[in-house]
Amino acid sequence: MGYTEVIQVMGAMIIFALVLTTANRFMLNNDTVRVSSEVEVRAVSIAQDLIEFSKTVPFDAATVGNNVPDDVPDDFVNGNPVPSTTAANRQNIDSFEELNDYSETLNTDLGEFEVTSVIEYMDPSDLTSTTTSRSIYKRISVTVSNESMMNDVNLSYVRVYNNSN
Amino acid sequence: MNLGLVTSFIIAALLMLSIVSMNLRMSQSTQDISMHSMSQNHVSAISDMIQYDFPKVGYNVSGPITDPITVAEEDEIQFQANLDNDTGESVETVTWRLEDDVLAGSINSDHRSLVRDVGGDSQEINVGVTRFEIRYYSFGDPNPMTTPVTNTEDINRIEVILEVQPREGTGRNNQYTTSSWHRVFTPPNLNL
Repeated sequence: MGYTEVIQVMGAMIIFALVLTTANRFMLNNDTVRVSSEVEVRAVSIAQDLIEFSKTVPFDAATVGNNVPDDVPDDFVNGNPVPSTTAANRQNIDSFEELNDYSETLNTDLGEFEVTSVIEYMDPSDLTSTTTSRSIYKRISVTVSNESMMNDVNLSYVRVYNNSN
Repeated sequence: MNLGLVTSFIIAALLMLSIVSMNLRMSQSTQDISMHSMSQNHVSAISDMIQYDFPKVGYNVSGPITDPITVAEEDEIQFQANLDNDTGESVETVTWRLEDDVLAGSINSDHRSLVRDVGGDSQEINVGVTRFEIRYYSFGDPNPMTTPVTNTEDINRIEVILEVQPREGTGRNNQYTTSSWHRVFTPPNLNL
């Protein structure tokens, strides 16, 4: 076998290696999509879990123990800004606004999920806009991130005070 | 024999083996994706039913039902709820249970039948459920309660873990791809 044939064989090997690399990349992408779809489903569940939990705590520190404030919404917690929580876990959260700037890390079989939440007052005349003034509407925005997800999952829920929560 | 000819045969054989191996892996990968996609569809359908039932634990039109959870085991839950929001306040007894026996006719030996029973109307879900685990939590305790739970009135959160596998495995070792779904429910009527 002369040099010409050796060069031809090497050329063929390079072409084949390129095809193999492309095929491997295709399979890796398939696996990545499969894993990230599982992780995204889990992330949505985790965000929904925190939102469901937030519905079970009193609407405001002023309504703890089914207390009805004299002046609604002026007796509610300050909205400019809503104070950051000091709670390190859910067991220490006593009212809705204590979920402001709350964060927790969940270790699961799909890796670590970083969960953060923010509480804001909503403008009663436009529930898509936040306000720094007190109102009977508060929104919780939950963000869940995981290293296997390209984008974070964001869910939000607007809660209204109805004199009994 | 010509050395060049032998060498080229060896290279050709290696090349052929690589191509066959690549083809096999490509087809396995595609099969995995299809199987996984089917399992995810099944998980989605089952989770829709679970999400319809579980938030309503203890719900009735006139007010919450007292001690609505009657059975709280690892693979079975039974509770009362006015599922269809009937104004006549007819309360249904709802049961979710994973059967112990292997699903008949399935190649996958981990397949079980998931049963949803509403007021005696039983519905078997035979789409490849391999795990249906329920964990119960009481307020203020991050650890699950020991099952079967005897003091069911203390339950205020319920975690459901669902896993579905396809009927057939892929690859040399017959591996099964798993689609899972986790959800923690905080039913309002257990938290009043």
